[in-house]
Amino acid sequence: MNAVLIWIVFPLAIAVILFLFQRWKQTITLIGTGVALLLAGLAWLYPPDGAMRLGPWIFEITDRFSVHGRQIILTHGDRPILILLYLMAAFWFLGSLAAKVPAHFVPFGMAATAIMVISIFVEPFYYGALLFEVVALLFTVLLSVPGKLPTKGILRFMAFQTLGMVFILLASWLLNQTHVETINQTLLKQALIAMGLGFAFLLGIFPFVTWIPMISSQNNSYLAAFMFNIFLNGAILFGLSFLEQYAWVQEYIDFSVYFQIVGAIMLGVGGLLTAFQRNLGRVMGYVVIVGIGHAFLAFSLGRTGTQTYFALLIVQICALGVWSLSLNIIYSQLHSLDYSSVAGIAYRLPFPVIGIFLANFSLAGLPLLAGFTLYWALGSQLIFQSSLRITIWLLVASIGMLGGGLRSISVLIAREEELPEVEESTNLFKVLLVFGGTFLVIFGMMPHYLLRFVENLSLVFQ
Amino acid sequence: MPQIYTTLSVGLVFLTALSLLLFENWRWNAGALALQYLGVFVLIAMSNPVEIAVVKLVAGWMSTAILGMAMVDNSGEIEQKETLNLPGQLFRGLVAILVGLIVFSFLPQALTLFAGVASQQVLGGAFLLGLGLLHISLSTAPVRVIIGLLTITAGFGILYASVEDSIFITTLLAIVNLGIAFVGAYFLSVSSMEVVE
Repeated sequence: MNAVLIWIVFPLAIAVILFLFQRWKQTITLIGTGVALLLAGLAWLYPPDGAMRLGPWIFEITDRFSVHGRQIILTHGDRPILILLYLMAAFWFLGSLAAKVPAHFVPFGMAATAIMVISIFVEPFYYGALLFEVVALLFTVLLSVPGKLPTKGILRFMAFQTLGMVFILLASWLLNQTHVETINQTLLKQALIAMGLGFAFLLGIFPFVTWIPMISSQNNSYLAAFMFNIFLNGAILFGLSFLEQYAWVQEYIDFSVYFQIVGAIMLGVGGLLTAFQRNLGRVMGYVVIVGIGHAFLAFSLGRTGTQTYFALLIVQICALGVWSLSLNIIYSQLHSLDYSSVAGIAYRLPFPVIGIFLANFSLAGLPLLAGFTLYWALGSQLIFQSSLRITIWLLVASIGMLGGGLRSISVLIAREEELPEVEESTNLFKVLLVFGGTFLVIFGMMPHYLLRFVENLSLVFQ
Repeated sequence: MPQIYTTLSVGLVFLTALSLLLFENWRWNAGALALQYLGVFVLIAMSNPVEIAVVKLVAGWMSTAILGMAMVDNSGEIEQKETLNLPGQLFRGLVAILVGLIVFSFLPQALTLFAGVASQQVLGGAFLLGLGLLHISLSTAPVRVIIGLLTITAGFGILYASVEDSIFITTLLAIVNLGIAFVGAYFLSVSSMEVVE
């Protein structure tokens, strides 16, 4: 049996089948969650290049699959990435039971995850850029909910991803040219510029960042957060594979310095602008931008930073899940996330407001919540490396996010004479909120459990 | 392939991309896109086997058909939204000519970068990339952005095919091309689709 059949073809087939049965939304959501958990479990129990025992039968799992002379290789070492991606998908699918999302969410989400697996593990790896474009197209359709016109944020996302694909393919071609011959500094410079532009478009790095807040404010919050979480982190993993393959470039350029500069810019832009928003969705969007900045800073630190990145990722998944679900509940009742529309809604919908509070302040790094110790670790490591100026931006971003959170909360609890009539939050939402909130508090108080959990993940990129 | 065909193809891709930028009539657009892919086919066939170039042509025409069919279904709505007047067309035309001149003036540098690639291929690819970029910069309507993206991928397809002749990449680029057209068709009909929640 081939690993590609299990972790790519099977979920794609399931996605197609689930797409045909959209009428039974709850059933397909549960099946999708189950399949994603099963795939994560299989990756945990049976490594891609090992053997699978099912009763009396033993199946050898081969780790490579050839198409037109190119290969998709899933090795034993890639197992944590498979587990992570499918667990992330399962988490979002399960949460969608309590959210108001279109029925094609699970099939599209499943297909996007499977294609993302190909794009990370295809050889030559730069072909992944084309597959990321396919994933971006899937997310474009997913975010364009039936009955509404596609938003400007989606159009911009699509345009930027297409340009990102073009520049990454161009960069890899130029780098291959440079590698084959003797190093040509001019060619290397052009390749690095193309690579920088490509990943700036792909990851939404300043100034190509505008689509993130646009999507988070104009589109379904839950779908937007799912896309930010899966797509951006998948793209970061792809970027790391890219750098791993062209490790020789690091003899000519110190990426860690550029990572710190990009990280600081993202923290500055995201953090400062968070404090000045007037829409709950946009606040979440800018916090996502800060999250990209944190990821860059973490990767600039090498081995310990990689561990911090994965710990931050787990916290981001929990926090974004709780946050976007809460926003989704509020939007489904009020049809707007503008401050003017949501003023005083805490008295009608207390649970979603608690969710927003916990998620926003966790990601802002409020003490006793999940983000605090990780930011502290990140800041300490940066100071240890004498990057005090960068650390100040870490602090500025946290203050900005706290400010944005406080503004949101003050609006949500403002005394209004007339409050709109709304439906009570569902029990499922409350249960999910309690679970998500508990994780955010537990991770904040006992971060060593989180760090131990992500230790294996960080080994993949050492 | 005789040089006259390839030189004419460069002119063809420039004119079709220009007409896509200037005219919003869906019939013109579908026709211009179809002709554009013919020019792309000739330019790719310069350095690649005809089989690869035909894949690009077929994928391009299929994309045009997908988008064209969706535009036929929504022709009334599209015609209502056509807003480009004469001054707007003049402005776009002038900017497009400016882009064309910039591309032409950077041809020697581009030829150094794409060493060994024919000047017609570099010029044709760069024209499409430039005008496609201009198209998505000046448009906010979903279908216009889609046409701009198809133009960009066509231009990139010419340049990339001249330096890498992989069947896998050709397949993936064809999938991306068709995917963009499908998304365009989806955009045209999504607002009138039934919500399943």
